[in-house]
Amino acid sequence: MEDSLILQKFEDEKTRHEAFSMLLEKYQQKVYWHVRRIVLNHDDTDDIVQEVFIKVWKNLINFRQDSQLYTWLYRIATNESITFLNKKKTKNNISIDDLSEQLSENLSEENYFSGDAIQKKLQEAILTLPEKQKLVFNMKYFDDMKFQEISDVLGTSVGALKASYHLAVKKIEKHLTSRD
Amino acid sequence: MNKEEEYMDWEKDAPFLASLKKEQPFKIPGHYFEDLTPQIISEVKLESLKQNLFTTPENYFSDLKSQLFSQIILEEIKEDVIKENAGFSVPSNYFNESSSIIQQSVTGQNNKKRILKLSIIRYAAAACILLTTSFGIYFNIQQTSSVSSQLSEISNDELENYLQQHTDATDLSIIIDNLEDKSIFDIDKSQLSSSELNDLLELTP
Repeated sequence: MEDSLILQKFEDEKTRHEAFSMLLEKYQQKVYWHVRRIVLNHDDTDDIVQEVFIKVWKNLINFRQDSQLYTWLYRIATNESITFLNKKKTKNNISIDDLSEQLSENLSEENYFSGDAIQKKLQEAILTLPEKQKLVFNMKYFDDMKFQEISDVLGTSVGALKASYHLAVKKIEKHLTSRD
Repeated sequence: MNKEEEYMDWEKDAPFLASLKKEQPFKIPGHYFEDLTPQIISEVKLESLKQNLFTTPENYFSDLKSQLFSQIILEEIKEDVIKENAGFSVPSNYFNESSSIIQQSVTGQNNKKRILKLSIIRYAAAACILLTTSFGIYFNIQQTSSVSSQLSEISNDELENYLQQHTDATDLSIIIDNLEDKSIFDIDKSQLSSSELNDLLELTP
């Protein structure tokens, strides 16, 4: 299903709900996994995903199509996830390190994590990264997005993103090959 | 795809990471994505209902600010007017004395004076009416008696002459009515002259 067709149908009030269902079918899993890699917990992800799509419903009519639909969706999802984590930090009055520790606890829950020890170690390594590097790494490594697309999502230059990704990869490699 | 542009050489910098199989390590509840679409659509519908639940008149919010300011200014003016007793003044100690005045009124001290004042007015009014009525009756009697006295001063001859001169056919009905007065017939007809008898016969039906 082409994005242009979804947008065209969404413009018509009669076919708006149909277009939105099509959009959900196409992008809900991508958005879910993008959010899940940031907040790790399923329940929090579920709440954020719903918020994301409600915002999409409200604002899709104003979407200008000067960027791709899915980078626009990723931008909303990223912002919602970061806002959620910041709220959590403020609410519990905890530092970034404490928050990372809390998030890493999700990796120990059997109901939520099925990866092996190496996968767990990879996720723990990602948690040690600064926020921007974490986002870039997730989008590049797991979603195979181009730097230009990541730039559209994060509003950062391609050069800066390349540097961030290079640093992130090196840190993760170091973490994975360490004996701890 | 330009390899350098997309930094495809990262695998050389991180060979261990590159050797890992890219798989999703997170679990999700069974049928989660199947249920997610209808769940989000329900949320969206609820959100739409929330937005359309209430409407406001046209230009409500643009006019609200000026309305609120006007209201605030009116309230301030009201407060100022109340503070300044709305421009009216009262005698000094009015409010201190007013309570005792009211209490006196309630206990009836002032009522007595008022009742007395009311009684005097009533008696005066009654006296005026009585006087007016008495004068009316008096003058009426006076007038009546004066007419009788004036008539008594006129001689019988003059009256007869007057009546003879001024009696006309219209008086006949009055005379007939008075025929019932039998005293008229008690006149000794033998004492009447023949001309008087003729006149009487002419008048009598």
